[in-house]
Amino acid sequence: MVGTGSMEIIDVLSDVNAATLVPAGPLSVSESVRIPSLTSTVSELQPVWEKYLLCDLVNYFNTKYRDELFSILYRNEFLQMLLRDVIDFVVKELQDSAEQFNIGISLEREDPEDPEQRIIFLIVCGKWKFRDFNERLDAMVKVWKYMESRKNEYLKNSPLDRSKIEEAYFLVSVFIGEEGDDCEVFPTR
Amino acid sequence: MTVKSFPPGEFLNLAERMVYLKNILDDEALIRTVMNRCYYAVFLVFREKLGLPENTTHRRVYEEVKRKNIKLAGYLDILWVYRRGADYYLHSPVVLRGWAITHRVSFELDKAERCIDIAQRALSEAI
Repeated sequence: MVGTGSMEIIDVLSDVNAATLVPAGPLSVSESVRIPSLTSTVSELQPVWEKYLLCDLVNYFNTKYRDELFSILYRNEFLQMLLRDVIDFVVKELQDSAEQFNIGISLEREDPEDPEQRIIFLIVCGKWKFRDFNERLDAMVKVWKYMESRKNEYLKNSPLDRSKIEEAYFLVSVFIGEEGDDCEVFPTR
Repeated sequence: MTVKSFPPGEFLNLAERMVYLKNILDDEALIRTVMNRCYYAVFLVFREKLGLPENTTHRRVYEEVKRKNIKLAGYLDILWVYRRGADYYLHSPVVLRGWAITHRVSFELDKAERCIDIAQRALSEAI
């Protein structure tokens, strides 16, 4: 496996380089599932995959569980699709509500009361025009509802992939936080 | 004395009473407990409404709620993160991902009040 890994890394890298030449814009489902097959381990490929998977769309991956996050992203293309769709929606829906915002991803676990519990948070941190927290919660509800509609759409189009689709849906949540308040904002990568 | 089931929504009533105590800004344990009780009020009310047994894991309850209503699950997962911070992170309970930032009690109180807002919404919408 190691022997073929380097060639595949180069293939992926050239894909990434090609992708950077294309102006950023909403990604369609077909684009987001264009994943080359890989035989190397996630840790070998991580720097490449970080860039390839979602780094063109988010500002940071802030989690102690990077390897775990990337291995889930790697094996479940519906998770990537869902995150990309939700990011597109967030950008369109919230751009008028903010002076500026950043988007990051974090895998959360570490609950001794339930080691199985984990959530991938899409964290949207910004300076908002919302007057109070309840308005932000209403915005979150909108995003959650959109996420549910995407899940239903995936299930309609790919009924045989139900387990992957449900895994993605159960893992992802969205939190809209305020910069310097309930979010940290890290430098753009 | 009649033995009856404890209504877990009472935990939210307790949190609401605690957050208005005069000395709350001098007592971080109170603030942390408010966050913890808000989560358990919602978690337990949902678990009971779904008819799940007492030993059901957090993850299972979360998934069952999300299967039925993503909005309620969203409230639950934010409260889960705040509760985890309040219970396990001693430097500061309020950072969303458990990473420590400036420790200010007034800031923490604000988050405890948000937990109450979320829990009130969750319970009123679950009825």
